[in-house]
Amino acid sequence: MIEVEDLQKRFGKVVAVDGARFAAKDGAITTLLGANGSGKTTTLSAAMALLKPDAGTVRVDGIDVRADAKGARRRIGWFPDAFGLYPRLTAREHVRYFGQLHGKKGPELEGAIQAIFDELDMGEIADRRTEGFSTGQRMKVALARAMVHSPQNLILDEPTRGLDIMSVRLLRATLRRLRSEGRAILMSSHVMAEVEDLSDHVVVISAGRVVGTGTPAELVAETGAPNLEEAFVTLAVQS
Amino acid sequence: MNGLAGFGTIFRTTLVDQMRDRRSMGAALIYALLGPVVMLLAFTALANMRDDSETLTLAVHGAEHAPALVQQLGASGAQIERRSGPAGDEFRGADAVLVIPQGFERSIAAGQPARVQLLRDDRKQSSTIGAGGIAEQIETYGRAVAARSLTQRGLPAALAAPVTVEARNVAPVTGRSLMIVGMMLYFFILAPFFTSMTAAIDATAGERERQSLKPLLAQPIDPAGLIGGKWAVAALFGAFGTAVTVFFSVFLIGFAPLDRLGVDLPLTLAHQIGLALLLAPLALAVAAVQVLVAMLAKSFKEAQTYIQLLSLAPVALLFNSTFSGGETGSIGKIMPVTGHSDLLRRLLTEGTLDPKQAALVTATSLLFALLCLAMSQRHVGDEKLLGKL
Repeated sequence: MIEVEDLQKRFGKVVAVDGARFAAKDGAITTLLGANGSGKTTTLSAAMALLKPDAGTVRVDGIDVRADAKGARRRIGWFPDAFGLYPRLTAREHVRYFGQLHGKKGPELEGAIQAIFDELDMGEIADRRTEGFSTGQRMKVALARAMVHSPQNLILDEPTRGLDIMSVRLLRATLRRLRSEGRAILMSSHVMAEVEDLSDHVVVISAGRVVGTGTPAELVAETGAPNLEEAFVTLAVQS
Repeated sequence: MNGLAGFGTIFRTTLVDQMRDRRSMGAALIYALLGPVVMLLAFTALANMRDDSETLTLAVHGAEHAPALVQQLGASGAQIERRSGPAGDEFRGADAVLVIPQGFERSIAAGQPARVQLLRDDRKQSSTIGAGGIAEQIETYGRAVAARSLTQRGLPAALAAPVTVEARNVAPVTGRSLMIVGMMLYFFILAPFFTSMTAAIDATAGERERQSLKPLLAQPIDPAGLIGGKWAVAALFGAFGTAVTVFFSVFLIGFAPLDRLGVDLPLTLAHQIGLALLLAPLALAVAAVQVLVAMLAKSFKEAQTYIQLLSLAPVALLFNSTFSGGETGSIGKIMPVTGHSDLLRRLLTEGTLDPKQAALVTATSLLFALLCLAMSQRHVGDEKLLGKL
């Protein structure tokens, strides 16, 4: 579980996150829904202890990420918005690299890699260098890399951006499988259809503040809007 | 967990990544393989330059006016070309031109100063050196004539030359050898700067530009493990590239006409290994500075610019040493670059190594590397670094 409490972060005079407070529970997909520049990536970066908040805390399975960043990171799989791949390494080398950074090795690691490659249908690209990979293939490598150490928590920053429908479906299926295993999934998005389809819990962020929380249906009901998109616009405008 | 979590994994993976990078491998190998070729060409060109031990061609106008002098100059080894008519600025292949006026012998007989004109062309080293030698020969001839006159007058011949200078070169090696060694020093000491440069930039600023640094930082690793792994790869490129430079240089020097230059350097396998080992700590220090600079730079291009400028630093330091007459100060003797230059100079010329100085130079290089690594490590957690992603 990832718990964010009263998180505040400024960059100079710009308030990026202003008192965000929410929890991404185990066995659920929690989505940060917000426009570009609303503070989603900053919140997720603070959850990974990549940014130091000005105030507030983030706990991962009870571990304060500032006090024990390594301990928290061991329990998280991180899927960044820019996939950040090494063009000269193969897909397998990428996943092995990150597995090793989490202390995995030997047959256990190789078995985990193979299982993920089978699930994500990566057989053909497993031993190819990632240079020239399509966006969908790059997404698969980034996702495999985030999952290789079987983390209890998964953080994904705009995971469906630029993906074709087949890749989106594969990603959704994988996230649902992880949810069914009781893992906590926290992701950011501004694609309404994806949020509505996947999310158990939505946290609406506007200008760094949490302006609404609940299931997609609850948000629609609360605002009296005809759909989630209108509900989001209503909440964002009200704030 | 210890403070180096991730070091081994990051080192291994970065090494594989860098070895597949044609730019990194190219930069390391181009210097290591082409540098020695350039050195061989330079040495060959040097050997083809005329030196003072070779026959000098002296054009003499008016040789008939001083047959005894001309004969003595010929006997001392100069190849005399007798020419008639007035001497112009054209030497026509001669190294120097001597113009003897009519009445030369008459002036000597009358005890009057006899003037000759010796023309040289300072644009050519052979002319400058050759003319210097001829002037000495003429002065010697003059002193002999004076001594003879004094003896004829019943005076001691020593009056003509009250002071006798006995010049002796105590340097264990010739000036040519020092020049050759000086050139080799530049090549060897610059080697780590050029052979680790691309790997150091690509593994740090390059990683940031490819946006692969952020996911890496989100793993349970220590900043020291991250920096250490990246640095170790760059240092390995530097140490390996430098060793290849040394071994390949010595191999190619075998084809240079060093015997024609009168140069005999101690370049046994043991000496080559010694050179490579002495330079290895320098490679570690240089890679650490390059990693630090690349971490602080805003972009790959900026890192490239700064690190290329950094490569001029050893040239400036070595120039200082060269122009101070080859002597290195007591601080310089133990510092990286200047200390290495001093150690290598001795090893290459005299074949000797001061173990205490070598240990001190190695220690300061390693300390320098550690300092740079500690500073780089502090920047790993810097939010500004992520801001540059």
